[in-house]
Amino acid sequence: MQRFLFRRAVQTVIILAGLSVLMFTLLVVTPGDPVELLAASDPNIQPEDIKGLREYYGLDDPLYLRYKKWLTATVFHGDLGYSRTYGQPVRKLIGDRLKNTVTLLTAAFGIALVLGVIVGIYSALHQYSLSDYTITIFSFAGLAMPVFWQAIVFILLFAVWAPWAQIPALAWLKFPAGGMMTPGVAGGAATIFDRLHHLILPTLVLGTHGMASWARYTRSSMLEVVRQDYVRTARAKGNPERVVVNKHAMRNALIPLITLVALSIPGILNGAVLTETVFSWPGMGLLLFQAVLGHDHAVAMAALLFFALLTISFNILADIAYAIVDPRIRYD
Amino acid sequence: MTHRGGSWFVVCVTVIVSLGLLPALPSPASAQQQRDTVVIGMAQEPDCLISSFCSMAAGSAVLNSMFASMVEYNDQWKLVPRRVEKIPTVKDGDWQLLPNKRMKLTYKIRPGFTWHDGKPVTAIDTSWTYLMLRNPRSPTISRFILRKIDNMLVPDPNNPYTLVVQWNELYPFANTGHTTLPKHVMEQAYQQDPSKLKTHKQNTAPVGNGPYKIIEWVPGSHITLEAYDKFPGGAAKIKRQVWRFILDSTVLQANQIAGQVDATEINNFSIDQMVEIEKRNPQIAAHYTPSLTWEHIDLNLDNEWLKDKRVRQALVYAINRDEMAAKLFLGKQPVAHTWLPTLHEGHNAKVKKYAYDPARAKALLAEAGFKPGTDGILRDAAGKRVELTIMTTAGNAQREQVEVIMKEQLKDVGIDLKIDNRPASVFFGQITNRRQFPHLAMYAWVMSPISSGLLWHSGQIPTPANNFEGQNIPGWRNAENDKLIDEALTELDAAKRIQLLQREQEIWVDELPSIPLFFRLSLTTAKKALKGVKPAGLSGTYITWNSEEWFWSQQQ
Amino acid sequence: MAQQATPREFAADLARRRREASGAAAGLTYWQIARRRFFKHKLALIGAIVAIGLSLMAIFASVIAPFSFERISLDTRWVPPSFPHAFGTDELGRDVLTRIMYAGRISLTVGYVTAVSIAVVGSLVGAVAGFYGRFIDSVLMRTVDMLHAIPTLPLYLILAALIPGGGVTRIVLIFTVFGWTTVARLVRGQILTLRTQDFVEAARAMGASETRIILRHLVPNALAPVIVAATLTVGGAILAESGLSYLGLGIQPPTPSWGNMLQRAQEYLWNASWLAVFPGLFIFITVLSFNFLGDGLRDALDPRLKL
Repeated sequence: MQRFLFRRAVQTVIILAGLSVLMFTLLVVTPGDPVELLAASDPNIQPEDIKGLREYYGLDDPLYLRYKKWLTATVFHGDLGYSRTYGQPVRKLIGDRLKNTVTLLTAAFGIALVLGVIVGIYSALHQYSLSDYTITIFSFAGLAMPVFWQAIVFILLFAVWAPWAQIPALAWLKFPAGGMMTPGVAGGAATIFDRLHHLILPTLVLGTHGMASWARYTRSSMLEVVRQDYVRTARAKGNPERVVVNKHAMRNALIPLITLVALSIPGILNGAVLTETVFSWPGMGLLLFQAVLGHDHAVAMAALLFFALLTISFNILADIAYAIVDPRIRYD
Repeated sequence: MTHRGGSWFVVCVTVIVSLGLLPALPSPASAQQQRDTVVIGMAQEPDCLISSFCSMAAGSAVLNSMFASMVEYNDQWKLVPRRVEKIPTVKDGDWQLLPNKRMKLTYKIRPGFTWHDGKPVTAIDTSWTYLMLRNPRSPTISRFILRKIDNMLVPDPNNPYTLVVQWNELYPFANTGHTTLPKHVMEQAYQQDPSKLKTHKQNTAPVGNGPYKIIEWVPGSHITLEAYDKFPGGAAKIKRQVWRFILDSTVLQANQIAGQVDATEINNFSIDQMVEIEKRNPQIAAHYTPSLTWEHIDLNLDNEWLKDKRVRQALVYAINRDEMAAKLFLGKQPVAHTWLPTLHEGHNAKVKKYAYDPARAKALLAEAGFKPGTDGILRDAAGKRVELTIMTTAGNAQREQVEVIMKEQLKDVGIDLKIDNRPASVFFGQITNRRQFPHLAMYAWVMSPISSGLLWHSGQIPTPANNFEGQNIPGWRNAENDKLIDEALTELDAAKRIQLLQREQEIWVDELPSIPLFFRLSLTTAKKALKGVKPAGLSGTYITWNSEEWFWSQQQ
Repeated sequence: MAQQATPREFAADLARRRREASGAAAGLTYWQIARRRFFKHKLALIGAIVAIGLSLMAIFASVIAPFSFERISLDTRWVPPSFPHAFGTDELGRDVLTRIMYAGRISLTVGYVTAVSIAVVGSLVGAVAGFYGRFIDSVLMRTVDMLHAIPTLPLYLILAALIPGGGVTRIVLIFTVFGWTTVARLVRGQILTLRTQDFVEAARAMGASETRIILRHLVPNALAPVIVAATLTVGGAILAESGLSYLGLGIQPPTPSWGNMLQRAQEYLWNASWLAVFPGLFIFITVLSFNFLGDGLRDALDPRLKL
């Protein structure tokens, strides 16, 4: 196991290094930089000012030099630099946003996983019934709608229109249209409730997308397992159906899901970018998007590499988990 | 199974209903209902809060509430004193003209203004700020005006409220005041390393001298301001001012309709969206304020076809700008016939106007030597098909609509218009700056009450030789116009200056280096119950320029 | 003990036993079995019919569209669905049904071409990695890992800003550059497994040439996941294009695509909701159909596939 981990660690470093070169080059080569954008909107900017700004930001250095500067600062000094747009240290900026994204992702992931697995198992056990077909269609529907579209429809439905909110008892079912918190809410229970209230809609949007794929995979995995001989044996032994399902079928069915978890992290991050944009949820996805478009290279590099590290770590974790759960698999 | 399913359902419903009945849970909307807060929604988040170091409009909007400038433009576009006793004028002697094109202005700062940490605001702060910004190592964005100033002094050490500014150029707009930042807050960092000033705390939690001070800035979410109790003239009537960043304009629109924000500024709304807001929620007032943003189409005067004045004039005759203004912009956005807005002192209302006249356009094109081909599209003298390409920023609905309408209308006179849009950073970074557009480029210049005609000077054409400096994007050369511009730049007599500007516009309208389209509107909204809101439509003067005067009326 | 079977007899016996095991009548090939399984899957059938119908609509748009595609009429903006505008008109008075048909061309083209190019590129890379193994395999798979490690949207953003233009080619290019990795993995996995199977040995023993082995045995089995992946990619590409359009980086107007029609329609959700309903509906139905189709194909070709 140690050799396996060591090999993977080495591979991770190589991958990250390669990625950083690729990303940096792409970012720098992309035409249009903020200094010129500035110049274009203000007729009074003078050429000396532009030159000064370009020097200040090091925009005219050759590519390898800029990369070297960034690399030395990041790797050898742990200094992620300053955001060109916000003037704040990148580490602080990302730290704040990260918490928010993690909250959203965990909530959405949790709902998607739990609901998806439950729905998938139910669907597998009642194959070809009406409920199976209904659930199948809903699962697919969740995957077939553009995320931002669904987000906007949810906002209109649950935050603006919400006719049921006229009834006082159901007033809380009218959700805020975006944002993470209401400024000025007194602390304690009220803050917690406020945050949760804001969390619900974006979680639902992100979650319904994830749930659909989980449901499908659980269903097919369960279907395959249920046909196996050892399940038939368990049934023949006279075990109640509940035990057969929970103790024998489900565990084996859920093993392949583990790899799926790792592989779907990038997909969820994608969905998060769009969801955060629509809901103005101050998270990493939104930050990354703005940094890439706004040519804030320090932030973009840090965020991209962070995502990469996250994904790779999850992959490794998934492989380890796989080995733990399935005794037939051994690494060396 | 059905039994279990049914009981689950009942459980869920019970939980939902009982949650709503819990009295301890406050409705989040109640925070807004309190009359001591006003929530302003913006579709942009500021990048920093030191105005000289940043570029985004969102920052300036918030700063409007936090800083009181020396002199400002009100909603009638008139210059009024704010932190000074009076505005210096030549007549009163506090604006002196000296030999060798030098000038000396004297300001008397009103005592009584304090920084949010209690220290008094004096002329020393202003003169220090000038030095700091002038330093080439500071991350100042534009030193255009600073270079015209030789020195800023506080001549009398016992009277820190008199400021003397020495100019080395006859700048007509020298009496518009100067940026003032707190010396005692920033000096130490400045002495250590001016280039690091952009990361100073003043950028994220600025100490200002205006009616509101900052409480918190939660990046990505909101900025909270609170009324400064020691503001001269009394603290602002509304205790808290919250700026919420809602980046998607449709969601912002939904928030305004639902009443979850009280006003919006820098909202990226279209005129249609504004109309919809008023329709859906009659308690919201939509403001359509004429602004100084000049939407136009630059023509590449190096192109073989566009070199000919008749072709350019034909283009303008061929487009029905009046119809666009009436139907697309619901009559709220006026057609521009020249490049200066109506409220500008030099605006020439009597220039030649090009009404929609496709027959005239065809005649001009025929005169210029074009003949229609078999597919209805014109061919030039060499037989080449007349295809023009128009470029603008991608993702801008209004501009795209104008492009599509133009395509139809130009087809009617035999020109095939191709549309090629690019993202803004590319468009401004390369296409306009380096004059890389083949024929037409549509975008906007933000003019100001002190705009001059410098834009159109032939010395301002960006070329590889001068490192692409300059903003005469069409590449227009006109000797008479150049002379007029040079004169007007240093003409202090307003009447004479206006005369020069008007003649410049006459020439411009005849030569048409660009097609003037519209003066865009500044679109803002506010609840009707919020009184005192006076949108100005000037860049730099946002809806909050007078936010200390706002108050909530009694009705809902 | 029975006589040792000759290789030929052994292979024939093996083939017969396989056929019997799959319950097929004598003489059915792999493809015929697959087809039968496919037709049993009702949703997949519906998906196939709808997909074909939409494609026909797109191909014949210029013939069946009720109005001219570019005709603007500022006097009839925002007419709700009624006669003669079955889907209403948009903010410039253009007929929405016509635009949906023409937009279908663009969106479906994006979908199909992306699917094909990803399938081709991915298969090539995966086949090379699977065949040659060792170092080449290692390098290629690390590249796949590298590209898989980042969420695709920021990459699309960077590429979208880098590559000028606003047409189908650019979008397809962007999707292909980062999208071939899944197919490559699949194909590689299949080839690695198949290389060592008994029937390959048997075929070799029977004297089949390398080409025959590849074409007759390896390719059909490796193709299955590629077909399924490609089908699912069609829907995925259409969705991704709409996401990019929302951010302003997809197909550029005035070329209509369902994605950018949807994005445009957001502004008018209040006064002209039909502008958003129809493109959204078409995206939804298309993606749904291709997903069902892909699901059905997967069940038919190899139900054990974990895609």
